Amino acid sequence: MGAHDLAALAGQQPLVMLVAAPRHADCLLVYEPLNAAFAPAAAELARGLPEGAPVILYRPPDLPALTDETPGATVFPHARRITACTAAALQAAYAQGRSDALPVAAAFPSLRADLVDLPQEHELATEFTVFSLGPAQPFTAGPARFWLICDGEQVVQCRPVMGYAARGIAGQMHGMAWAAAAELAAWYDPLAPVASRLAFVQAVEHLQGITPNAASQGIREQALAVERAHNALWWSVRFLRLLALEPLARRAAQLAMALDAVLAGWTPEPIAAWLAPQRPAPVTTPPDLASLARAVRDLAATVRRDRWLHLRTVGIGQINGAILHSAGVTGSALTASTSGAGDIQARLVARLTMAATTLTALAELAAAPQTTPTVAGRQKDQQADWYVPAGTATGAVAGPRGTLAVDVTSDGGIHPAHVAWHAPSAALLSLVPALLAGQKVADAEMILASLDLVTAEVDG
Amino acid sequence: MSVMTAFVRAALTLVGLTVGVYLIEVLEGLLTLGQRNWRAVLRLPLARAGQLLRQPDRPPAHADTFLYQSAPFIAVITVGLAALVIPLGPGLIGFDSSVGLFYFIVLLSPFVIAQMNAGWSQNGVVGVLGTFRAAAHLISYEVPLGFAAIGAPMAAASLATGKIVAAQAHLWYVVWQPLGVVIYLVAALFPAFRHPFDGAYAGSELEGGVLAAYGGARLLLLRWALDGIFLLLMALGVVLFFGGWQGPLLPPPVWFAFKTLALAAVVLALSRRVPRLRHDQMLSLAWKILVPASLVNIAIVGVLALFVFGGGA
Repeated sequence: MGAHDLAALAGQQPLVMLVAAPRHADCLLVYEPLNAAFAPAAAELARGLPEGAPVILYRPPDLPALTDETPGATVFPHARRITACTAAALQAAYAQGRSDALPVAAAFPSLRADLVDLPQEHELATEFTVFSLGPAQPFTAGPARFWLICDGEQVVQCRPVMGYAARGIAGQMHGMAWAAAAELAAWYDPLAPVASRLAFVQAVEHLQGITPNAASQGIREQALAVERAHNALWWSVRFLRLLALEPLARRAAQLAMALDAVLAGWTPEPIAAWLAPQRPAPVTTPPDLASLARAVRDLAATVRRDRWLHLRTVGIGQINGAILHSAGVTGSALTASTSGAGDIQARLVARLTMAATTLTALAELAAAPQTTPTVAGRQKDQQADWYVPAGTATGAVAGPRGTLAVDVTSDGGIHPAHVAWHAPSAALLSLVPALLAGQKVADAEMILASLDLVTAEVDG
Repeated sequence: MSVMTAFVRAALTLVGLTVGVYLIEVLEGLLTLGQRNWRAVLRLPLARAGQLLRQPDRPPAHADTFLYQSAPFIAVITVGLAALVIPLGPGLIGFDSSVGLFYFIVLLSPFVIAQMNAGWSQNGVVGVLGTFRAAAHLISYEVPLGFAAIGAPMAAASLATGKIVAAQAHLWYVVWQPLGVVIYLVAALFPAFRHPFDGAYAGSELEGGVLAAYGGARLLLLRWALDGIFLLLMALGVVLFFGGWQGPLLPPPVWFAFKTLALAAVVLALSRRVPRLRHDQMLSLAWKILVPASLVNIAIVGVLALFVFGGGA
């Protein structure tokens, strides 16, 4: 969620822009939750700010309390807090003037200098540089660190370090009531709350032996499809900005914001209210997305035809489809390798094409006659049933980055006995060291960004 | 030239450059934010400058203090010195040298070296990588830029910038040296570290590269110098290929400023359509495409100057 919000912020207002170095920033926006691993890195970033630059905290209003969380106020006691992640709120917080207090609590420890062991065969070499990409960086959604051991500009070895986005979601779900666990499940992938929640709800319905009717299932699929398109568009904005292709990034941002506007009043009640076991989906008319679908298809075609982009990225970050398949990768990353060249440009085209196809399908649905959604004969106003018999079941949905699955075990009690998530980003992350070895530093960021890794998915 | 005259010329040059730098920032803002945000675009450069001037300077730990502190001044002084040979109108030139073009191109090297000093002095990985990329720029642009620019003095039979403009009274060189213009404008983006050749600054990947550790007034000076050198390279392009100050009705300096800004706007708009190039791709472009093309251009210009325009157009 933070990644999309930040991408939108930078395009909304001329006075809000992202900078690469903390020394060049006028303020630091900290998007909560912070955990014990990331808090020292965030504090170090705040210490790098110019004197007087304030720290601004934002916490999504519906984010439940997390057990593994380090409250932002303990790290940044003088931070200003905003209640909406908008340009206006940010500007209002900034307009309170310079912050003369130290940005980080005096008692908060400095970041420990990490020592990285060189590969054994190179331990006597003096020409190697150890270069850290992250943990606060824009090419993954959420914090992650990638140690690059480089010979000049050539990456010899890459070592990902995860855990900066860990929130202990699965562990926390074990001790919660089923309904509360479903609320928390939506935060498993903050960029895909529908997919995360639906996977959990499907697993519960499997345990209950219930199957929603076709209309209800159809509306759920529509919500999922919209989320896939939404993610693909906002990811394109972030990725095109990293490629420094500002005109295309601006076009993608316009389309993403247009989709946001169209969907604002799509369902009569929030998705979280009806996406529950045995709760029928509300009767909705799919929004008219025909013109938006055409525009996204045009953008995909423009990216496909872009000769400069092709010359810059040809063959970079190429992954064989068979390797992806054996690693368990699904979704657009796999499509880019099986139907395209499997490089950076192919991944961009594959995701935009997927978004266009999804929007076209939704636009066609708008013209079709609607039927009343039911689940096992239950009507719209009936409440969800949270009695879950003992057993184990898996819910799997086609999320924005591939198949998102969750194993749920029930002992017939009031809360889940065991929950285990299977995230698409984790499968892609396992390929990163091999993918980056031998590449140039200048390409590493692009390759990582093209994979659309969501660190919250991996860290859980 | 008396000391007072030299002082006045230097002051006027710096004021003129600062106005030009502001206009380049406005052009960039319009291209990035769109015309509907023109009010914010006009205010932003001034707001940013004010913000940076208020920030205290804080060198990084273990920095090479002399290089760190001097790099912005070397860059600014180089830009100021290079501006002296740009003729704004007949007789309106800070330093009317008989080798003005040569003087200008030679001064580009200390500018790039100032950027390398800025990166090296930070004593950090990102700064060093930025320095090496800046060094790649240095060995990329010099030959193609020089070869592309040489077509104009070949035709005008002079290296004096004022004479090159005067020689285009009847026909601008862009008409019969289009290849030279294209090569010049592409190569001009290298020493100016402009997109798509801004790998030494490299956005988030190098956290700002050679500028990463700079803040406050020194960062402002470095950014001023970067915009200033770009402005001067566009101005030199107008001198070499677009008839300099020449034009009907309006005063010569107005024509010159208009042509320079128009050329800058076109170059900035076109360059935004290309992704940022990697340093080795930049070197390949320079040595495998621009250098051979500039040699072809020299041959074409030589033949045309000798046989069509009778030894001097």
